[in-house]
Amino acid sequence: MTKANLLLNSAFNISERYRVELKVFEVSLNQKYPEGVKARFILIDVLNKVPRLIVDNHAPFGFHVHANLPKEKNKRLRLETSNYLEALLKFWDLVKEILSYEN
Amino acid sequence: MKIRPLKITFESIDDFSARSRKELKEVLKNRKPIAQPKDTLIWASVESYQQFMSDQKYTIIATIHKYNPTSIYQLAKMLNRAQQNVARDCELLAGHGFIKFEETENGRKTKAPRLIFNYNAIEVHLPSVTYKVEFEKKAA
Repeated sequence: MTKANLLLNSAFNISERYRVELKVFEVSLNQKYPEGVKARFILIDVLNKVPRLIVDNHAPFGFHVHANLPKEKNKRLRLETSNYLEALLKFWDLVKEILSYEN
Repeated sequence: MKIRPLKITFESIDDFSARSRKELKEVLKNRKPIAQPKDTLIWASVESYQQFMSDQKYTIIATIHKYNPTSIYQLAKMLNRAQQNVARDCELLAGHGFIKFEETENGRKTKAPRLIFNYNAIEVHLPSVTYKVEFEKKAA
């Protein structure tokens, strides 16, 4: 297993139900992470103990969203970006969208 | 007794997301880690924190700190509450970063609730309210 260096680690409690966790790792260059950076942005449904939304960036998909969680674990929607900051921005937009129709 | 607090701070979702983007930009550029302090939990609003943090949850945390129960069952006995309800509160506290579960081997595998670090107080940092009085309008 390759060594991963945790570059960014932060968490944000939105409500009793939702929590966001942002983790970015520096990993050795490999086929799964050709840029040597593994990013994982998660919206967790704490009440139901399931991830509600995940954005990550592994090959062969590049940045993609697991949006219809927990029902469709393997359904991925490609994010039209290869930029980490843009991917994070889109993640936050999706979080706000989820919160808006659940409030 | 020295106070080792768990700090609760507040940041709006827009402020936190803007800060997270700034931090991401920084770590990608410098490759130097940025980690949220272990003793701090950030909530989106005072209202959501108060809605979440009932007296019963404070009591759970204080009891874990004082008695180190080895299982949810034991904790529920100490609190004189239904185990199912205590388990649910503990799951929520763990999900939001107040406590964690440690596997123990006392005959059979059980999960012992533990504080995320050895804190003995919760310090709530209410956001300061700033406002300005515009002299132009006031004077008119």
